[in-house]
Amino acid sequence: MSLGSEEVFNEPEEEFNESSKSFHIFKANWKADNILPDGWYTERTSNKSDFLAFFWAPALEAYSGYTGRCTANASNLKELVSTLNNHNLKTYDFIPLVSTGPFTRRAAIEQLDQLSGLKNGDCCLIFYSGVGIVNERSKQQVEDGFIAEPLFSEDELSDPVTRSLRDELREVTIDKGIHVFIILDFHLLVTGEMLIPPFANSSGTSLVVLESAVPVAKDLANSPSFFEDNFFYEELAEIIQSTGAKTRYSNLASL
Amino acid sequence: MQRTWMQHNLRLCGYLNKPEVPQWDDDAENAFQKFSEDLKLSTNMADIATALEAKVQLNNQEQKPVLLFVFSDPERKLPAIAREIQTIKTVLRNSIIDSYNEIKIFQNKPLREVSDFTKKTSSRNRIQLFYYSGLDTKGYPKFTDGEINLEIWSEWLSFQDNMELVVLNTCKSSYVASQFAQVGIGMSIGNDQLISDEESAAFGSLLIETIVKKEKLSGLPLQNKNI
Repeated sequence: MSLGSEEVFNEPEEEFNESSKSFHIFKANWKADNILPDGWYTERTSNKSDFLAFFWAPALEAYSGYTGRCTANASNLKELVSTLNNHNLKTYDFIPLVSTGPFTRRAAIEQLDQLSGLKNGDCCLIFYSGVGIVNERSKQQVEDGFIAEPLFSEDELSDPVTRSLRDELREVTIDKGIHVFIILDFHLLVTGEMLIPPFANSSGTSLVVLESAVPVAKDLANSPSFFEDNFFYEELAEIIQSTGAKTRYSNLASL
Repeated sequence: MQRTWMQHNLRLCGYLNKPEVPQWDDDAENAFQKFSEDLKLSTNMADIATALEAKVQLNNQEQKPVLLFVFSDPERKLPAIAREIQTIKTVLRNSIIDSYNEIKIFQNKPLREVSDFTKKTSSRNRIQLFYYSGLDTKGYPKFTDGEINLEIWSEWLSFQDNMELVVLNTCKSSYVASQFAQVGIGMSIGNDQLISDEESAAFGSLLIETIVKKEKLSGLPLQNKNI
């Protein structure tokens, strides 16, 4: 039986000369020996920068009827960035983590611990879609540039938050040359007790915060129209789709 | 710097998709411009050449080698080939080779698919082992839509510079293997006899086990032939 030719299928096996049946190896004249490449047995360490990305859309009970949009935004942006990772972000190792549903501040902060493993030149994207919280002081100055804090549970409205995400970020990123980009896709802002400084005034870290501009509502549980409006995300996605990773901050800031 | 060298390396890096031409045409210019933009370099030819050479080397260091296995028996005439495939898969799966390299297996696929994979951007310059087992036409790997002849092989080599070993585990493939070893392949293996698919399967399995153990190929029942 022949491997290659149909017509020799019926040839009797005794016709094969066992001693002459052998394979030949042909070696190019520049090849020193029949040695296999070391590279086949060597683990490659990627020299790519890491691109760690968190997509958060915590479900809040009071607004459960509206948070589906936030969940969709988080999932859709993750898919969009994944697509870019095959094109003009391909020089990065993309490490996405999507968290939706019941999701506490503690769980978010634990995720941020992963930033401690990043090195100079690595990037981190934090995308939050949901409700923001401001205190009385910042509420007065929202239009002057204060940045609200993500709200992970209704308990934070009455139980004062003492450490902001910014504080947590500072601990794991300080002096490491990590680029952190935070996108806060707030659909509404609520007033709560907070003992934390605003997100702004960053120093020592390459931090950019992009926040949707929504007014502070008095009775937010009865303000579904804020959730119906998805202007910020849709514009953001359109800009990213049209310009990819080469999006300028000035373009985003003009949203 | 030679224009053909520049085009060849732009192609290996995925910026050009056609064989080089003696003159510097629009495609070459566009690829050149795109490369300089991506690396934020001036369009100085010498700078680009240096960067291009560095990029090819960097890709070699960073990208996993591809070990390409192709089995072609669309008419199911070789009963032992299924065992050969299974054995090779098992041996590879249980080895570091599987972790450190990308293993790509084509089984009874048309030549067009294999050819597309060989030339596509993400495979450029990464295929280091080409293993064929199955039917042949006078020693050339045979598919439903053609055969891998020297013309096709030369075209593939325009996209692959790191081909270390070619195995033609089929009948009377020595002549073809010897030709392949003269056109840029480090080593090639072929057989100048008619062999049964049982023997072929046994040899293929033994070869892959030898590779996995990082043993010299000279330990195999092979006759050495210098080109």
